Amino acid sequence: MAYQIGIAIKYLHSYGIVHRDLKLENVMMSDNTEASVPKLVDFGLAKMIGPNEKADEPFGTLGYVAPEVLRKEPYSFSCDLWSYGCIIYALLSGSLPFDHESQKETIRMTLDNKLEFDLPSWNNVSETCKSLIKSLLDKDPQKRITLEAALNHDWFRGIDINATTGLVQNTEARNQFKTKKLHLSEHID
Amino acid sequence: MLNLQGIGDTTSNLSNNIEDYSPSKKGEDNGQSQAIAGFGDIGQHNDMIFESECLLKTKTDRYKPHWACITGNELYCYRYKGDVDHRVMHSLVGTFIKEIPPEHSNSENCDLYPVKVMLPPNKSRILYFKSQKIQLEWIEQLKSIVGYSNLFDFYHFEDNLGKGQFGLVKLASHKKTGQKVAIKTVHKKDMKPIEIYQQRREIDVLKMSQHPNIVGLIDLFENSDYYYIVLEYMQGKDMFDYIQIRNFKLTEQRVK
Repeated sequence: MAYQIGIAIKYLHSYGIVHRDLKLENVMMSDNTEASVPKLVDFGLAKMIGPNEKADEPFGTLGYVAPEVLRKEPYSFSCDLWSYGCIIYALLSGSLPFDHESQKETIRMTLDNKLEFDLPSWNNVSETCKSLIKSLLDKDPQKRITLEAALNHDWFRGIDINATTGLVQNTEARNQFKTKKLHLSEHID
Repeated sequence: MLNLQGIGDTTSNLSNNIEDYSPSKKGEDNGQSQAIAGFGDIGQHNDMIFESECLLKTKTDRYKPHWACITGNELYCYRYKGDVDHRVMHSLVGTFIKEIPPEHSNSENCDLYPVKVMLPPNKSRILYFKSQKIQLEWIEQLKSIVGYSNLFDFYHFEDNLGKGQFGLVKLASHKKTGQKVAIKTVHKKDMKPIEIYQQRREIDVLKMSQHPNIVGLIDLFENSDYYYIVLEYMQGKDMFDYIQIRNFKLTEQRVK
C-alpha cells in the first residue's frame, strides 16, 4: 500500500501539485479485502507550484505536518514526503511518530523530538523499513530523502505495480511461489 | 487532529460577495457528448440565431422595450429590431440561467416574465418578456447554449456516505448504466471566497489526475448554489478504519 501511495504522490508532484494534507484519513480504500487498493482523496489543500517555487501557507494536519511548515518557513514538495513517512509509520504501528493530546506538545515534538521506534510492534519490523522511515522523517527538508530515491529504496525491492489496475504484484513473492509449485510438481511426478 | 488555520493565499483577487461560476456542461448519450462536464467548448451553436422582443429594466425601474438576439454564444440587446449598434452584450459561456417570478409593469400594464442570466463572477442581467410562452422558449434556448443539464436526470441518489466541510457526500447510481458513484455536494453559499477558490483548485487537480491510486473524477455539475462533484465510489472506508478493523496489526509485507 505504501508503494502505491508513493507512486500517486510521484504522479501529483510530476504535475507540480503538492497535496499538503496527506494522512490516513485522506487515503480511501477501494474495498475491505486484503487486495484493497489505496487511493488519494481530498485535494482541498493542494496547490500547484513550480519546480523551484516555494509555498508558505501554514496548511496541513497536526501530527502529519512537516517541521518546516510548522516553523513557517517556505516549503516545497518535500513536505509531502514527511507526511508520507508519518503514514508508513502509522500503518506499521497504529500511532503517529509525533503525537500528543495537546496541540502545543505535538508541535514541540515534531520540531524537537528524536524519532523513536519504541512500541513493541516495531520489534517485528525490518531495519530496511526503519531506515526508509528515518530518511523520510528527516527534520531538515534539504536532507530528507527524495521521492525518487524513496521509491527505489531497498524496502520496496521486488514490488511491481500494474499500471492500469494499481494492484501490487510482488515479483519476489511470485517467483518464490513458482519455485514452490515446481517443487510440488516434482513430488507428484 | 485539527487542521491548522490561517489562509495565506493572497493571489486571489475575489471580492467579498463573489460567486465563482463555470458552465456545468454535461455530455449526453447522443453521440456528441463530452466525457466530463465543464471540459467541452460550446462552439457548436455558432450559427444559431434566436431573437425576439424583450424589455430591460432601467435604473429608474421602468421597463424599456429592446430587441434581444442570440448569436453563437453571445447575447445581444438592441434598442429596436434592425438597429446596428447593440446596447448590451454578454458572453453566455459560464453563465447560469434562472427563471424568476413574474413582475407587474405599470407602464406596460401587464405582467412581465423575467429570465435571469447570472454572469460570473457577481453580476446578472434580467430580460423581461411579455408572455410566459416566450419566456420558456428563451429559457430553453439559453440553457441549450450554456450546456445546461440536470444532475438529477442522470443520477439517482441513495445513502449518505459521509460529511464534508461544506456538504454531504452521497452514494448515487447512474440511471442508465447503474454505475455507483460518490457525489460530493458543496454548498457555495456557506463558503468564503477564498474557500471557493480552494474548491476550484481541488476540482482542477481532480480533472488532471488520472491515476489508479488517485480517486477518479467522473463528472461535474454546478449551479449557482452548489458544486456536485461526481467521484469514483469506493466500497472501503479510509485507511485509518482499514487498519483499525485489523487491530493495527498489518504485516510489513502488506504495508509495503
